[in-house]
Amino acid sequence: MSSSRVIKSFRQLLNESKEQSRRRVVIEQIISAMSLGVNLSPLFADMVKAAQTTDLVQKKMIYLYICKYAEENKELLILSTGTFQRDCQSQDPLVRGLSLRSMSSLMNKELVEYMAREIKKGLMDRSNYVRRIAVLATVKLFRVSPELVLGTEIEKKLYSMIAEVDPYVSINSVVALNEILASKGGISITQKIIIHLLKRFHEFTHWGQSIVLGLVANYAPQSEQECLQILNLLDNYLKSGNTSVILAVSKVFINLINDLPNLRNQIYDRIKNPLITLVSCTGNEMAYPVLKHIYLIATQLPNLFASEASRFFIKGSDPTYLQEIKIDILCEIVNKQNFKQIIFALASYVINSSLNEQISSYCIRAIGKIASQLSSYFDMVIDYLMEFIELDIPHIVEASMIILKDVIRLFPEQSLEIVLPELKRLSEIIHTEEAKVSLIWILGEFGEKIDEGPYILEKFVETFSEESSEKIKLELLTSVLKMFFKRPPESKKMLGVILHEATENSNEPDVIDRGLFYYRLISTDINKTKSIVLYEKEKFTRFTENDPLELFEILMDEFNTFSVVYKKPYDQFKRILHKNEEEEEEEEEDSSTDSSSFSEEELLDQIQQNVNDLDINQQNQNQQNSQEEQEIELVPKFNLEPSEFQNKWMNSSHNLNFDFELDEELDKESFEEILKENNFQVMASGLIQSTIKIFCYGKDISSNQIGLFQLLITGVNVKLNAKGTNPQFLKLFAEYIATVLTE
Amino acid sequence: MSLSAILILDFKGRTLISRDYREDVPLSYGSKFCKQLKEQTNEYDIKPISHDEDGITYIYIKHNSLYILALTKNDINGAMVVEFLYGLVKVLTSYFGTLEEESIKDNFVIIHELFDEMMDFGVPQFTESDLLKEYITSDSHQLSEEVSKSISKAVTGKVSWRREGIFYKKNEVFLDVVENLKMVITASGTVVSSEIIGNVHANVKLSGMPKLRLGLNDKILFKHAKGGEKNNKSVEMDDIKFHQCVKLSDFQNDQSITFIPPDGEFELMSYRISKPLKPLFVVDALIETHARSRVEYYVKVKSLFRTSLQATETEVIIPVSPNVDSPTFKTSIGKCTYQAQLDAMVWKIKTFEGRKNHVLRAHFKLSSFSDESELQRNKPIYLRFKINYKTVSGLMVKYLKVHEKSGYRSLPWVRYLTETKENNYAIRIN
Repeated sequence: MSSSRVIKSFRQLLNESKEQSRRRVVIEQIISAMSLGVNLSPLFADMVKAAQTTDLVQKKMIYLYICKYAEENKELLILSTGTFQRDCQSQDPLVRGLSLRSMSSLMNKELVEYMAREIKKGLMDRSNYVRRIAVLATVKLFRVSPELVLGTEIEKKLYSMIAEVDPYVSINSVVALNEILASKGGISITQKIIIHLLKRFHEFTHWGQSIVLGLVANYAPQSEQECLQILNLLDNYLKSGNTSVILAVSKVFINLINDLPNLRNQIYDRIKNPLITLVSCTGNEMAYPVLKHIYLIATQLPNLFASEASRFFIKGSDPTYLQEIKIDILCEIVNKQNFKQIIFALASYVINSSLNEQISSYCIRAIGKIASQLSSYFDMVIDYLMEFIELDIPHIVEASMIILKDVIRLFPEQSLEIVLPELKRLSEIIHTEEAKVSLIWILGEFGEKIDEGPYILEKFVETFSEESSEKIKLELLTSVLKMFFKRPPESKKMLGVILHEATENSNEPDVIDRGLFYYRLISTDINKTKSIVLYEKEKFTRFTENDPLELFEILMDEFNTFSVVYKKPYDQFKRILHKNEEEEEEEEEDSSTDSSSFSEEELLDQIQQNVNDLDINQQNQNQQNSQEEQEIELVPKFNLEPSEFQNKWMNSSHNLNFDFELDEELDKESFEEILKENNFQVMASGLIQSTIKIFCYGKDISSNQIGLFQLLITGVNVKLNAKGTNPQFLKLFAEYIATVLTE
Repeated sequence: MSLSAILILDFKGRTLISRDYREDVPLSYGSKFCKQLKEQTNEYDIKPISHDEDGITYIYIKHNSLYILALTKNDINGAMVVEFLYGLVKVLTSYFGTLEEESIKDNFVIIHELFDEMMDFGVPQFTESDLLKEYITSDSHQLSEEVSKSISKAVTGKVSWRREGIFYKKNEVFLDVVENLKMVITASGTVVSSEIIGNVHANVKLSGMPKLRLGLNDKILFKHAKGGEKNNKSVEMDDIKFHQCVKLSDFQNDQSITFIPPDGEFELMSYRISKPLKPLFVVDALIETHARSRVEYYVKVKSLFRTSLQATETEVIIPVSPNVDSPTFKTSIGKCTYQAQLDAMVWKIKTFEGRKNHVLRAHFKLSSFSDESELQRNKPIYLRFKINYKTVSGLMVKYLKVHEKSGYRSLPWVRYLTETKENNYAIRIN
């Protein structure tokens, strides 16, 4: 089956269908196929012709089609202008709006004059619905021909439309101007505009409010008094039910701090609780950007959230992305008061087996980071790390040893007291590569301070030839050399062994190289070698992965944008798309072959099926023959739970009422019997006075559709109420029930 | 704020329906997202807001097994996009009952109509499903003068969330005050942390343009509010949020909640209280391991609320070591079962009356010798329950006055419910 066949049958159906209701079904099918990704571009001329309908539903669908395929049918587009223009004169504002919105979406150079004329008229239209569409259409016009908008009467008109009573027109004018004037820094924000918009703030939808707040954030109030007025007015909207509004108000507040530095703490205090509430009260997807913003504020004011640490504890049901950002926040807000609470929580996540490995390693790193911030508690951190190592769970040992090494680098004197006596035991229990490397580094750097230091290293040297990890071999070479200069009598032999093994019996070129290098160095000048190997190290104070503080200041300026979520300024992730059209087309073709869209076969089958259904329908309507094809046949053993039935019954999108008469009266039992014989399933039945009430359902074999129905039978009169998701099926289904019962 | 496109994808990332609003980001980027979906190992690896090397930002939410994805190349307000996508799901759900692959495939036309009205050129217009119904012509619609009149009527009013001319035979308002309790307590009953998330859901079936005024009892105080006298009995709210319709300026002045409600169901307000409250249940647990071959549990649950109330659907989830078998249970009420997949026993009690003690004795054999039981003991016991006719915070509706110029009488109905979700009520045992 090929797509050309589908197009052919669609074309034929369009031409044959004279009745409006039938035409509509055909066009619906075309839109369905288009939505699923079938290319129906060749139908363009037929669809333009069909646009001259008076049925609004058809019109909407046809315009949608025209917008979609306009690019590929440029030469045919001119055909449609007549219809568009006629519709712009319609009595019905819905039609005028639709026509204006569709025409302006075409963004076609050839049509630009028609477009400009209709948009100008639309801006003056008597219906606010049309005006609000016309306002946004100016932006589309601007994208095709900027000179027709910039500095013209349209621009002036837009400014005046901000003052319109209709809130939608007003907001759209703000948006339009902001985009048209983007190259000049957006709409010019005057005190007059701001006062006007804030005065009627309550009238706007949440979206409108967010947009206005975006403007207010960029507005520089003229006086301190004005700042306070804005602050007081917007304070109420921190109680808004819409997250977007709350974040936008927060941004305005943060920007006002520049003008009111003495209120800094008070202002942050105001936005604190609303933000925390959002974390527990919204969906995961929303909690994510909110937490990112809390994190940013915490980098500026760590103490603000310090007393609320428990709000950022992670839950087993949190997705990984929320767990990570919550841990980041905990690292920022840690202080002397909440230290124990936070460390305890992080430690419990490490050993909690229901969290994934990535998170437990992340927590260990966080614990190390906290140690670097609060040096007075490093001993507690070391205790935890030692405990983790003893758990003998590979990824935990790995991460803990690395952090242990870093903590020792941060606080060598104090931490060595605790760690050194344990080194021998540690060397016996750890097995993983990175952990071993860290341990060997510690031994090389500080191992001389304990008696058994060289002997622990010697144990590793003994297994050097069997060692498969290059990293461990290299680290061991360096550490043995260091030890040699500090404890020569005990280390001399081991150095000989390892240099021999490295240069003679190794396969790894780097190991051989380093072995030879050390060997030559020692043979050249042993004292110089010592000064090279044991140099005075700079004190290590900060983990390198900590972000530069300046970054956060830049991000504060970009509050309430993606920059905060990505933790990088806009220019680091934007890239202007300068692909030419050919490339784009190519890509689209690619996408149709990969699995992101439904397979062509699958789609065409389905459409053909739908088109066939249509034919059947048609024949049925026209009382033509071929009865057997339209017949419904039910799945014999199909079962719905009562709750499922109820759910479907309540939520079905389509409903059909149908009355008919029986040839003779029957009792309840015989009804149920007839229904069951025909594979209907009875959900419930009962007698109310003399009326029989039956709830019943069935599933069709060929279409897989499920139909539900209720029967109310009084004497020979039957009232049928059927429900389902597909109106065509429902009709067939109802007829089928009637046939079953009357026969 | 402007989005380039919105796509609805099935669970494999295939596009079911899409709308390109600005034609500045090719829709083929949807397949890039699909690739990411395939590469993820965990269900939640993809962050809800992420960007690629071309500077395209992908924002998605998950609903049932669908992904609703928005694309843009600008640096915009992410929360607004997510909120819009939530709004879109809400509207589609109100149209189709449940939003899933089937309902989308059956309703392409209506969805396209909704796409048209909810957003124009990437700018959100409105997402109130009640108002949207004015524009959606899903059923037969012929051009006529009559229609144009009703359209202009809908949006000229300053009340953007309610249309005019609504009529009900019987005027009723239903309020549901639901408090969701999160609490961690120790075995001795000391509260480690507690938080209440409260919601007031309204279902308004009133004619015309009614003005409502809601009065709450004075047990609740609003932080930062003017004029609220604090006394010892009152509970302070950390935060409160209202639906758009509530006049915030009135609330600021005299704490009154006045509003012209939208038609039908909506969330009137939500609040959060973090002040520690008295626990509703305490649990005492004794665990004895005998000769490392069997273990006995003795668990006592005590309800601390008034005798006139009762908790329903109570579940006590007690963690046990993974290597237990042959469970036997004895309960003073309800039924207990061992659920191996949870490594826990679950004790279900249909109704638990106020100020009562109930006891569970459990006995298990230990299948292998292990020290792991040490770790198991640190896991808390969880309790799940519902209590009707009560809010933990003590919040009550004192009155709900309805004023409408036609002067009809209306009936307010108020229900209260306290409940716990998931593992939010935890008891740490030693």
